[in-house]
Amino acid sequence: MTQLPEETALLPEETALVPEETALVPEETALLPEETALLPEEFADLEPFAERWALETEAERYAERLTSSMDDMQDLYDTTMPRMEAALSYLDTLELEALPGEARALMRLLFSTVNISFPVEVWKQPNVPDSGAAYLDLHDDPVV
Amino acid sequence: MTHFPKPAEGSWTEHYPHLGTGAISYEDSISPEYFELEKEAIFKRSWLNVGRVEQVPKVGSFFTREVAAVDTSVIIVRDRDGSLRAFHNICRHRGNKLVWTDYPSEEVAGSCRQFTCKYHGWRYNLDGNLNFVQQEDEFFDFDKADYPLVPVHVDTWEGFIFINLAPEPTETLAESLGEMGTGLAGYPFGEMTQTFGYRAVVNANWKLFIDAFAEFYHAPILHQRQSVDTEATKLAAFGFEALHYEIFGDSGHSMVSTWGGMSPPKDPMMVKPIERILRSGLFGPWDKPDIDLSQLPTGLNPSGHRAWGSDSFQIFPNFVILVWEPGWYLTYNYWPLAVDQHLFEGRLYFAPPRNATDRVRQELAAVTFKEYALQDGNTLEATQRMLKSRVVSAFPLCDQEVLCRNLHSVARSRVEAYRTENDIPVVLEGQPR
Repeated sequence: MTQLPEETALLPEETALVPEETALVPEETALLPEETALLPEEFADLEPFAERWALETEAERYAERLTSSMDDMQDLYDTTMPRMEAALSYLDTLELEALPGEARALMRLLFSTVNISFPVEVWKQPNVPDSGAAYLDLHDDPVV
Repeated sequence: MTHFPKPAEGSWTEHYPHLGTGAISYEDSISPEYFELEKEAIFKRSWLNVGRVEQVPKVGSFFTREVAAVDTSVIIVRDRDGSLRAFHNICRHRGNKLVWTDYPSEEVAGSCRQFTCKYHGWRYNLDGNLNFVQQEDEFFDFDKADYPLVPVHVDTWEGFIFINLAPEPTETLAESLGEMGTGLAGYPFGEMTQTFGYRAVVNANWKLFIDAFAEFYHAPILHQRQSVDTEATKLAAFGFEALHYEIFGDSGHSMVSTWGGMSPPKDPMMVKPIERILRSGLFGPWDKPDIDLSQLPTGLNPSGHRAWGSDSFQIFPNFVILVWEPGWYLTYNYWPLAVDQHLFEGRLYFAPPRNATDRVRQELAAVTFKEYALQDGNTLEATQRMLKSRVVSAFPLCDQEVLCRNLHSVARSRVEAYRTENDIPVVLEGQPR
């Protein structure tokens, strides 16, 4: 079990979109054609990261971070950071409480960029230095 | 070198002469016998924060809290008349836990019209009165009025819910909070309803984590790598000095007021790239929310410093409210589980986000909080392990650690008073300071 996440993390991003994985598509988009993107079309360039990183809860995002390679996180960071302002401008035109599924996925992708920013900008490793087995679960995510 | 003025006595510690300036023992954090006395003397008699009124918005809203330090679970519920009530979470029939789901040791929250025991179906009104007994006529000399839920004292201050497990508390919540409570009253806590709730079991005595957040002497060192390199070097050379400390008599409550130049920073290059882009970080979003913060309560920023950043209030025994200048706050609760273990809870409170930008900025503040807290928590486990060796028995505390000194002193005083009242033999040698 301990080796599995490492290996899957190394698979090319495209394989994440093969049909077998469509069970992971959020429910609201599940009825759309299978090729439908997770993100708004204006952000097609971020699409390769969406399935893996547009995760609903902080616990899922942090878990993904802990099992990811620095190369993968650097890739996410380098691609999303230059698009941060454009993404926020786009999202700010929408009502936060009623974000459509693609917009919500985009915001969650930005949450993941925030989550991996410490490893990329500071730690140079996925976990906090000297944090060992310590954990701090966000058991109560905000509603929005 | 002193950057901010200290009291006339020359130090914060000497301003409170009863604390002394000598090295202190941490035997109070490793002795199992002392921990048993703390439960009785402190946790069974003090007002304990268990949540906020937003958690019980309407009639029938309830939540349960496990209070391991006193081996009980408590139900907090909003009654039909709108008042808050608290009960020990135990059915009067054969002692089953009344409110729980799936896991008897876990807390639950929800809404109901009455409480029904899973075991034999006894039902209680929201006011605790027993209203239904299955096959009531099978019981002997039975009157339902004799079997209400066991009440727990409950009260609120500024929307924070407190319980007191004493049969008759020696003081009201308002009396207990005293000057500290009145000084903080009026802050718009109730408008900051966007919350992030964190939780972890930490393998250290409960007082050690309060110590860790009651002094910022550690911050430039332990968290050095979290700043950009040049800034970290500067911070470490500067060290830490608080703007102000206040110890509120013998209540156990105290506060530390801190400068904060990071929201926004004077020079954007002082902070990490994502902080520059999002205008947020450890000190929270740099731009204030749509909440009127023009008239702060008198208890905040007591030194009136223009570089004020945050105030941390230690509310005895195990509750902390930390108010940040940019307009948000967080709370910590420390629930003892054993002499060397406690449940740590942290909750961040922001104004509801107006848009996605606000929301992503909050995410960065929350994620940053977690990075810091993980370092703090794990360091405590390292401390606890070595304290237990008893190789060293006297530890020097500096002036910036005056609140640690106060916490251990007040806790010890409460334990000693209880021990004397109840004729219990000495557990720790030496007098409380």
